Amino acid sequence: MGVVLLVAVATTSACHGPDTVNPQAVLAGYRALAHAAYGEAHAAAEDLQAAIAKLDANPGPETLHAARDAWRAARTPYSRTEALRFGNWFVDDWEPRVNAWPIDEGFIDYVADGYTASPTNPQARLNLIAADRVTIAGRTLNTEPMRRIVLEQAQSLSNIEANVATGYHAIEFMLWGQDLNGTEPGAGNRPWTDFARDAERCTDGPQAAPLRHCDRRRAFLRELAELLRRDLRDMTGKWGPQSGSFGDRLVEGDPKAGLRRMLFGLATMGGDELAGERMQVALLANAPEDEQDCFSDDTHNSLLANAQGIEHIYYGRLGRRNAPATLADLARQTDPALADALDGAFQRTRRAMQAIAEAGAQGRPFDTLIAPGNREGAALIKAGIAALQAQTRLLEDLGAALDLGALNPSARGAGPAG
Amino acid sequence: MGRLGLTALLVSALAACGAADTTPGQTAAAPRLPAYALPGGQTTFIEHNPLTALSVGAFSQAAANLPASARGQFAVGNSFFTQPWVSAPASTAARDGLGPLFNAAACQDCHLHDGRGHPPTGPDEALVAAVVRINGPDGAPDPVYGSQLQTRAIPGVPPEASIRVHWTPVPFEFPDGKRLTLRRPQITATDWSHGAPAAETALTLLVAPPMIGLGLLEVLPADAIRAQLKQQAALGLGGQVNQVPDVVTGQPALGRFGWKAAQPTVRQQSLDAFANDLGITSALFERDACTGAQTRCTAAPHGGMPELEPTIDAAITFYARHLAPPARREHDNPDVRKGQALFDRLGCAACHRPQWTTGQHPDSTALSGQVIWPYTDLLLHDMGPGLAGGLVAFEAGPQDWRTPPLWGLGHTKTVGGEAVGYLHDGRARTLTEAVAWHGGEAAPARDAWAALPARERRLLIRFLASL
Repeated sequence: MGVVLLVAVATTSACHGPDTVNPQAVLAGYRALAHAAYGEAHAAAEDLQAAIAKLDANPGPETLHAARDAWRAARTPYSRTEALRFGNWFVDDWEPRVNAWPIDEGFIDYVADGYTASPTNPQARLNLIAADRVTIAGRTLNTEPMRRIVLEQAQSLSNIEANVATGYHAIEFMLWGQDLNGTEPGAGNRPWTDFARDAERCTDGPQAAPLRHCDRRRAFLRELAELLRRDLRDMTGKWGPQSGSFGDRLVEGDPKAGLRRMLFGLATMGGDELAGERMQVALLANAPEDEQDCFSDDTHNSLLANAQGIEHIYYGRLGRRNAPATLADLARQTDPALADALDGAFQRTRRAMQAIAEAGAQGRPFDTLIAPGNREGAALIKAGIAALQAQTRLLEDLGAALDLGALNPSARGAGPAG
Repeated sequence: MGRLGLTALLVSALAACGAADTTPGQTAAAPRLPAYALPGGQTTFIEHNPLTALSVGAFSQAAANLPASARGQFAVGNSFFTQPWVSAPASTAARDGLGPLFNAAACQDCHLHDGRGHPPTGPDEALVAAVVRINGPDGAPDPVYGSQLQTRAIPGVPPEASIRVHWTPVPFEFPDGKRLTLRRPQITATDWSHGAPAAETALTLLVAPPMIGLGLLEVLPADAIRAQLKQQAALGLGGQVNQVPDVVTGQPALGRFGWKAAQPTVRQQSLDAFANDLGITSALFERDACTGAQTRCTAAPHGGMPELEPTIDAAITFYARHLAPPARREHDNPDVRKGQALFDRLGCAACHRPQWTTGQHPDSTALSGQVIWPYTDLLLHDMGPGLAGGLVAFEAGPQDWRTPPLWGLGHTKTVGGEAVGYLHDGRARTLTEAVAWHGGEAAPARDAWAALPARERRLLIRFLASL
């Protein structure tokens, strides 16, 4: 350790030595990466909105198919941003607007017989699509025309987390419908006629329906696409280069606090949200309801993108470029052996998560992997969990090596002095 | 030490290299909060949304000092706390076992966002985030309905009863002539599945208490809790401990949790709620809420034995132990400081004891040795006839209630919504009403507060809202 310290002293005093990693530059890279990552998610949400506009103007199998493709394409860049969620309270607070799940989909639209929702959710079969007005918690809302402000009100008045009327998963349910295949292969299969503009053709799934339902579904999609685009535009702006933005304050603030938040975010996304909530829980419960992208069966891709997001931040990858100073550089300067271990851990996570994504691409999506008795599927998921947990422990070690104390989201108080 | 020194150098090098507006010793580190603003010690959740109105997640955070490698377990517990359980048989083996009789389908139905539940606002509103306990005059469970009325059931099994809550106005007058209208619940049960119980049966409405800081309270040293008995007796207070059975050890233990301090550990409290509120059996409670008289209930399908799988039992307990109290707000506001002085001077702090140091938690270093500010003595106190229901729990008589912790009080409605109230049945719609209801041993302190000028009475409330 003594040798490393001497080298570090020599280089830090020179300020521009090739081995010097400035923590503030790492934070500046993080902020630039966040801005770029939300920018990509925002651009993809604009494409999704354009595809939804085409479905709205000209409902048919092709436009529905194209809208589904656009949703999947929008999901990947968003999933990569999720490593920015923890440690940044303004992201974590905003997140339910765009990504709330699981959802009791009967809150939004018709559901098949055998739909299970919480028996204590009074709005589990509210069906916003069919209703011109709804009463929630004693307040009556006029839902015709379909307006985003009313959708947000309906969601917040019910005060039940599963009643979700906005964000990626509400759009996903609209585009795919319920996945009635359980843990067998197959996603939701909503017919395009649910969006028909022709009174003769409009359906509620297998049944004929009044044209009003189809009109309202198209309006619902339009409102949601607009809301999502605006929310992502706002979040992109919060990381923008203008002074006084959240990103600006992070970079200008105490560098240790900034690094702690950054590492806390990577560790929490990997060890807690991804390995725990999204994979371990689904495996324990064997329930497709616990699968994040359960309508589209695209979970294998979003899980991979979640893991990529963590890796991108660690290595400071900005599209095809690299940030000038990264956490990986800081790790290598501080403790080369730990940096090697982290390189290995990220590689193992990448392989394990790619194996899950490949299974999905080969017709074995995530909900089949978690089926009771699917040992091979369980082994794939357990390998991903173990890799993420090992990576998380090493990220904690890095926090200790950087003298950041316990990784927690706070910039004040209970951490070590400094 | 090498690593530590290195980082210190890096930080000073940064300043020397001329980062725009910072000079050495003046980095933009946020001010450190004083200990009394961190109710949960190092577990305290600090970095919440600065806008109070948006901090709905203030009670849902993991202990801040929990290692990242342990947060996966917290996340698993959170999921099983939040997601609804379903009745057996179901495609999801891990989440089945709800009922046959139940009050709620998920922990979160009552502990809204990990906070308090709420009573119905009137007779037309169903009981959703509260339960009704039932017992005979001697405190024994009802022979047919058990100790809690389950108002929901799986198909084919009758719910035990329908509950309506009417609110009766109760006038309260301050010595300065100002008036307040309090309310008391009047509980009516109809549609009894097995006929009406004996006339003297007592029904008590209970709302779910908040979930924060439970693991910290679990390791307050029992000796230190008992040591307060003498100190309080010297002040003329009659605090007592509740001796309750520990189901794991089979030995009597100090009761710490619930409105009557009837449960000794976080796990036992949680699994009791699984049995009675959700109808889910576990390693500690092998029977759900059916009594022998309820034949359709006992004959209904179950979701394995026990229904709660050991991994989920462990995750739920871990989760319940590690929910962090949030940092205080406005702790330095001059009015808040004056209110705090009143809190001490009026005698509130004699039972709502501000500060403790936790002992060693056998399973969690994060919870060990923390200086915490829960504002409770964990003892039972006679709160007078005004708050008494018929509920008896071990050594806690109808008028005895455990001093509830006050940490997080100011976040109550942000987390749980406007219908959330204070006290065991949620009858107090405001903190002022809650203070006004204090009787029995707390009557002198309450009277001293009531006798203050209105402006000073408000200062006390200001302090409570800062917690």
